[in-house]
Amino acid sequence: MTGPRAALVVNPIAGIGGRVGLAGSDGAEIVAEALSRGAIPHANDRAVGALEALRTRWGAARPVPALLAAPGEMGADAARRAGFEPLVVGALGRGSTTAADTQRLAGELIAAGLDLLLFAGGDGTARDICGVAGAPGVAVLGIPAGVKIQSAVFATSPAAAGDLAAAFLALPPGRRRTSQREVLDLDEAAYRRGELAPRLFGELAVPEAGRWLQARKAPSPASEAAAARAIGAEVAAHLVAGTRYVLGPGSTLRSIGERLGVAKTLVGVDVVELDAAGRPGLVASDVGAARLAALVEGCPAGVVVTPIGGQGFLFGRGNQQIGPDVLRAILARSGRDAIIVVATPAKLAALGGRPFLVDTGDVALDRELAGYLRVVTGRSEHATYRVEPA
Amino acid sequence: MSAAASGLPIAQKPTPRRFHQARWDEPIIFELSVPGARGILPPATEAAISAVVGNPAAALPAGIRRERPAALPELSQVHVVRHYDRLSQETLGVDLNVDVGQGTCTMKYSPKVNDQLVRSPRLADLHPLQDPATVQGTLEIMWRLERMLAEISGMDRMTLQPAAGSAAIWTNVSMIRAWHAARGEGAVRDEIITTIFSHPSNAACAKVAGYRVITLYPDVNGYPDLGALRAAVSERTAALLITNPEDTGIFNPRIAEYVRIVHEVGGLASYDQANANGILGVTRAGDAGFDLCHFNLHKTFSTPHACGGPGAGACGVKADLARFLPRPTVERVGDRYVLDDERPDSIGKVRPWYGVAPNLVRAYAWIMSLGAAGLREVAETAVLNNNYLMAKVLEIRGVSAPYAAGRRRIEQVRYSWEQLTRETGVTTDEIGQRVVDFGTHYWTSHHPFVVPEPMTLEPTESYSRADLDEHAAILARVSAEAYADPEHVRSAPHASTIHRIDDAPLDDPAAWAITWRAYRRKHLGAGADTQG
Amino acid sequence: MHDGEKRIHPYLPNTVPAVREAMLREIGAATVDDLYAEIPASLRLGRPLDLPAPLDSEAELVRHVEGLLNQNTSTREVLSFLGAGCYPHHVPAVCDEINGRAEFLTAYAGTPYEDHGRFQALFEYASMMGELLEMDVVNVPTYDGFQAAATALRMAGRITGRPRVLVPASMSRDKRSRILDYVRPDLVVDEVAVDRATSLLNLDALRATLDGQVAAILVENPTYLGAVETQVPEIVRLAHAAGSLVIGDVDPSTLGVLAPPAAWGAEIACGDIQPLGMHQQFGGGHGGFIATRDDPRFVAEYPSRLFGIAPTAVAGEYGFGDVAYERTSFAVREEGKEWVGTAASLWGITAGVYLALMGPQGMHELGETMMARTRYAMTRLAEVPGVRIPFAAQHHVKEFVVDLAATGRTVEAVSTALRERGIFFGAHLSREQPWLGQSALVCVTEVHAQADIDRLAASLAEVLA
Repeated sequence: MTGPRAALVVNPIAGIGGRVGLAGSDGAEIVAEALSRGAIPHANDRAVGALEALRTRWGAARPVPALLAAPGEMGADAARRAGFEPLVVGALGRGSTTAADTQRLAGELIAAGLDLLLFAGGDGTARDICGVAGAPGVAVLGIPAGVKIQSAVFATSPAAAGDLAAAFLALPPGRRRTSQREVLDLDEAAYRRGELAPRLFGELAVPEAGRWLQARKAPSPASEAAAARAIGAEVAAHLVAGTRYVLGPGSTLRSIGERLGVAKTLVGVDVVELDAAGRPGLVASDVGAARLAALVEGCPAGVVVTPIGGQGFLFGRGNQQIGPDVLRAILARSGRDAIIVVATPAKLAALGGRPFLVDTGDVALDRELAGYLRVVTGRSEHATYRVEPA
Repeated sequence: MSAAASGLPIAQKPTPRRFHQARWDEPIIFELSVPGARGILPPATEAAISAVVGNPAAALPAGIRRERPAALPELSQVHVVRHYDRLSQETLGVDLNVDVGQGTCTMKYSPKVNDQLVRSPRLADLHPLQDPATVQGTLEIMWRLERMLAEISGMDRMTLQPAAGSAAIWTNVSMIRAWHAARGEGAVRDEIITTIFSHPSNAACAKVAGYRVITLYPDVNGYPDLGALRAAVSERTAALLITNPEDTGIFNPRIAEYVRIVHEVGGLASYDQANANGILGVTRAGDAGFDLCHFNLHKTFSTPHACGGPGAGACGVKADLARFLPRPTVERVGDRYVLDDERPDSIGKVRPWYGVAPNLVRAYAWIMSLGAAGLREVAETAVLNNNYLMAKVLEIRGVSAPYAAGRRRIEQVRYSWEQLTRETGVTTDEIGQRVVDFGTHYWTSHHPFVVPEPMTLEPTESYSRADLDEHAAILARVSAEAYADPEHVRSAPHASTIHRIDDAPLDDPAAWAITWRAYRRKHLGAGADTQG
Repeated sequence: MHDGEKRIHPYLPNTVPAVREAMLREIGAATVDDLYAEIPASLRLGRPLDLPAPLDSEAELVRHVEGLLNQNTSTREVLSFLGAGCYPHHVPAVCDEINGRAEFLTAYAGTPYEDHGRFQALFEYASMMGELLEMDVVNVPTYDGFQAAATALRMAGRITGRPRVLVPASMSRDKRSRILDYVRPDLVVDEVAVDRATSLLNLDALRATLDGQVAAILVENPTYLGAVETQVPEIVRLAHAAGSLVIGDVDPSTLGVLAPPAAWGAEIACGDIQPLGMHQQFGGGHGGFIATRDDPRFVAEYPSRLFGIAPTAVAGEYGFGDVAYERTSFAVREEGKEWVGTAASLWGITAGVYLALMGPQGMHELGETMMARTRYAMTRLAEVPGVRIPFAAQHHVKEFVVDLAATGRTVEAVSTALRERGIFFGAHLSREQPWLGQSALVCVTEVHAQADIDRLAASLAEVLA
C-alpha cells in the first residue's frame, strides 16, 4: 500500500423521505411511499459533491488518493462522476438496496484495506456502518445525505466532508488523528409519533482536523484517550466500598470500566458494585429502566454519567434507562454527591458556556437537579458546572 | 538619461511588507566540526604546579575517570561566532517585529540601557555568598524593588526569589500550604480552585503540590462562573488562584466578590498578575482583598524574554503570610541591608540564592525611568492600543471577539476565526502559518480551546499606531487570502527560514531524536556504542 | 526645558497627544478613562502610586543605578575563592557576544518557523550536553540545578512507583530545602550519612537504608564538599540490587575528566549549567539539566520541553519541534503532571556556545587544570600552621574543606581579615554542616593562577600568625 486509500459507500435512497414529508427512509414501505410521492434520491449527488471537494482540496501537485467504491449506485457511479477511477469492490444484490447491502459492502471495503471510509447517508446509514466499522482503527466520515443527521460522525456539508477527507489523507499515517464520535439510535416509529428518544447506538472513529505545529508556551493537551484514562483513574480512586454504581454509556465511561477491570458496554447502562473490600465487580450489563430501578433499591448507590449527543444532555439523551425513579432513589439515599459527572476538558470547552441539560421525564426532578454539579475532568482535576432543565 | 527613464522616484513600498526571513540553510554544529580545531584555550597548568602535584586527573581510578573524550564538535572561534550569528538572525526577537501576536506574553521593548547596566562587573561578577557589606548596592536595589512592587500590588511584603512566573505560582502555592498547615488544617484543605482562562501553570502547580484542582469555566459573558465558584468552595478549599483580566482581556468587575466567597470558607485568594500591564496604577490586588499575588518581571516589567528565560518572578503577600516567605529575605537595619536567613516558618528555598539578579536590576531601572505617572501611561497606552487594534481587527472578514460584545477590553483580546473557518475551511493554525510570512508572530490560546479557532493579540505600550495598523493589515491580507485562495494559506509558510515541517517523527518513539547523537544512531546508522 | 516638565517618554510611542486623540476618536472613546469602564470605582486606586520620582533622562538613570552598583565589590576586584554552587569560571567573550544578540535576547515562544534559530540553538545545546553526558535525551533547561534534582527525584518516583528517595547528608542545606519543598507531596526524602573520615557516602548506612521502597538515590559527584565520589560503582550496584534508580547530580565543567553518570550505570543525570559560560551574577546565572537514555518510559516523565529534529517539505532542511509524548501510547501520565514555563533557555544557548568553543580537548584541559590547581591549593594550605585539610586523602575537583579548628580562630574572623587583604575566603560551612566545625569550602578553578593560590596561603598564614 503506497499512497493513501479512501473508500466510498452510498446509501442511494438516504434522504428520500425528507422532501416529501416522511421522516426517514427506513423500511421498504416508506421508500415505496416516498417514490410514489415523487421523491428523487439525492444521496449520489451529495457524494459527488464531497468527492469533488476532495479533489479540489487535494490539488494537482500529486496523484489523487486511490478510491475504492461499492458498485454502481452504491458508490462507483458517484466516484466516476467526480472524475475518479474507482476500484470496485463487491457486487450488488438483487432488487433495491437495503441496510444489509450497506453493511456487507462496507465490510468488504474495509477488508480490502483503506485509510478512510466515506459514506453518504443519514443516521440510519451511520448505524449500518457502525455495525461493521465500530472497531477502532477504521477511520470513518459521514457525507450528510439523510433526513435525520443527529450523529456527530457527519461533516457539516458534502464540501466540508471532502475538505476534511483530503486534509486527513494528506497527513502522514502517524499524524492522522481520530476521535470517537457518537452514533445515535433514533427510534423512528417513536419519532413519527412525535416522541423523541435517541439512544446511543455506538461510536465511530472520525478524523480530527489536523493540528499543524503551533507556538507552545505550555504542554500540549493530552490525547483524548489519555484524558479518558486519567478520568478513569480519578473516578476509580474515589468510589466507595459497599456501593453500587450505575455507569452510563459512552467511551469515557468505558475507560472507567477498563480501569475497574469490568467489561463495561459502550452503549448500554451497566451496574458495578464495590464489595466491602473495595473490589469492583459487574452486577448487570446493558440493563433497562425497570431492572435498574430494582438494582439500586435499598442499597447505597451512585451514578456516573457523561453528556451524550453534543448538546450537553446529562440525562434524557442516550441514557433514558436511568429514569427518574432511579435518580430519586439515589438522591434520597446518598444526596447530590452520588451523581458523578465525567467529561474531558475539551468536551466542557466545546459547550461554549452553555450548561449541561437534564430531561429525565420528571420536570420536578429536573428542577431539583438544576444548579451546579461536580465534574471529574482528569486525575485530581475537577470542575463545577451549571446544570439546567432542558 | 531623462528623469522619466531614471527609475526614480522609487515606487512606494506595498503594505504588508514583502518580508523574507533570514535563511542560511545552516547545518547542525556537529556537521561543521573539524578535528583538532580549537575555539578557545583554557589556562594551562603551570609547570611548577605539576612538579608539586603531578596530574591528579590521570590518577583518578578507572570507573570514575572519563574514559573517552566527549564527542563535542571542534570549531575555530570565528566559526562558532558565525554559526550562532546565523541562528540568531533566524530568530524573530521583539526588537525586530511588531510582536503583538504573542498574546499573554506582554512582548514589550526591553530598554538597551538596562541590558548594559547589568553587564557591569559590579553585578555580573558578584558571588551570592560575598559578605553583605560588599554587595550593599545590589541588596539596596532588591529592597527598593520589593517596596515598589508592594506599592504597585497593594501587598505588604514581596519576595524576588522565584525564577519566573510559574515558579512564582509554585511559591505562592507553597506558602498557602504552609499557612493552612500552621493552622492545623493542612490535611483538610486539599482543594485549589482556578479558572480555565488562567495560565495552565496555576492548575499544574497546584496539582504538583498535591492539591485537587477544581476549574471554573466561563459563563456566557466570559467571566468565571460565579455560581460554579459558590458550588466549588467548601471547608476543603485551600485557595483560589485567579487572573484578572483573564486571557480574554475582559476585566471581571466582581472580582472582590470572588475573593470574599473564598475567604468565607477560610481559603486564601491568590492573584496571578501575569496580565498586569493594563492596570498598573489603576487597580491593585491588595485592594481587591487578595492575600497573595505574583508578577512576571519578564512580562510587565520589561526584562527580556531571552528565548524562554531567564525571566524573574516576584510574589507579594499580606503581612500575616510574610513569615512563610522564602529565605533569606532582604531587610534594612539602620542604613545597612542584610539577608535574613533565620526564618523558622519560611517555606525554605524555591531556587538557589536570592533571585535572578540581572533581571531584578533591569526591572528596577525600568520602574525608575517611568515613575508613577509613567507606569500609569504604560497601562493606559496598552489599553488604548488594544482597543484601537480590536476596532481594526473586527473590521476584518471572518473574525469576532467572543464575549463582552461592544465593551472595552483591558490589554489583550482573544479573537475567534470561527466564521472564517466555517466559510473557507481554513483554521486558526493555518492562519498562523501564513502570518509568519509577514515577519511577525501568531498565537492561538492555551488548551483546551474554549474560544473556537482562537487568536490572542496583546499590543503592549511599545507599539505605535503605525505598528498596529501594520499588524491589522497583515491579518486582513491573510483573511482575504483565506477566502480567495485558501490553498495559498494552507501551504504556508512561503517566506520563512524553512518549509513545512513534517512533525510525524516527534510523536513516534522509534523515530524521535532529541539530540544529534540519537539522530545519528537511529537514522544515520551510527554505532550502537553511542546509545545513552 | 526644565526639570519637572512632562515630556514624551521614549518607551511610549503612542503618548504623543495628537496621536492619542486620533486613536481615541477612531474608536469612539472620549478619554482613555472610558476604556477602563469595566473596572468599578470601588476597585480603583484613585491616587497616583507612591513611587520615587522618575529619572526619565537616560544619563540620570545610568548615574543612579551605577551609583548603587558601585557600592558593590565585584570578584574581579579581589581574589575570590567562593564557590558552593556558584562558580567563578572564565566566561568567553563569544558567550557574552551571542547571548547579547538582540534576536536571541528578545525572542520568546514563537513557532519553529519564525524562531527556527532558537530551536536549532537549543537542539544543539541538548546535543552537546548529550555528548558530555553520553545520554540521548536532554531537556530544554529548567530553572536551576536544584529544580533539576527535585524534578529528577519525582520522575524516579513516578517511574518506579516507590515512595522513598535518598540524598547524601553532605548536600547543601539550600538544595535540600528546595528539594523537600518540591517533592514533599509525592516522596519521603531520607539522608544517607557520610563517612566522617572521607566525607564520601557511608556505604554501610546506604546498605542499611536501601529497601524495596526506595525509588532512587541521588549521588552528587563531585560532592558538595568537592570530593570525587570514588565509590560510585559500588553505590550503583547496591542501588540496582534493591531495584532503585541512580540519579547522578554532576558539575558539567568536570565532565572532561570525570566519568558521566551514564558510564556509572545511572539512569538519570542532572545538574546546573552555570559553570558553562555564565557569569556568577549574584546567583542569577543558573540553569538546570536533566538527561536520560532514550527510553519512552523515561521520556514520558519529563515535565520540561524536549526538542526533536524533523524533516521538512524540502530535502536537506532541518526542522524542529516539541516531542509530544502526550500523544504517544506511552502517555499514561495521569499522576503528578508538572508544569512548563519560562526558565533558562538563553543560558542553555550560552552553554552550547561554551561547549562548542571548548570542544573535547578544552573540556579535558579544563578538568585537568582544575584538579591540579585544587590539589596544589590543598597542598599549600596544609602547610599553613594550624590549618588542616581533613579530606586530603580523597580526590578533589574545584573545592575542598579547610578546617581552622586547630587555629582557635573562627572562619568568620579569618574571612574578615582576609577580606581586608582583598581576598574572599571560602564559604562558611559551620552552620550547614555542624560536624565540620569551623571549616570553609575553598573553591579553585582555572581562573586561579599559581600566584593567586600562593597569595592565599601566604595571607592565611599572615592572618593566623
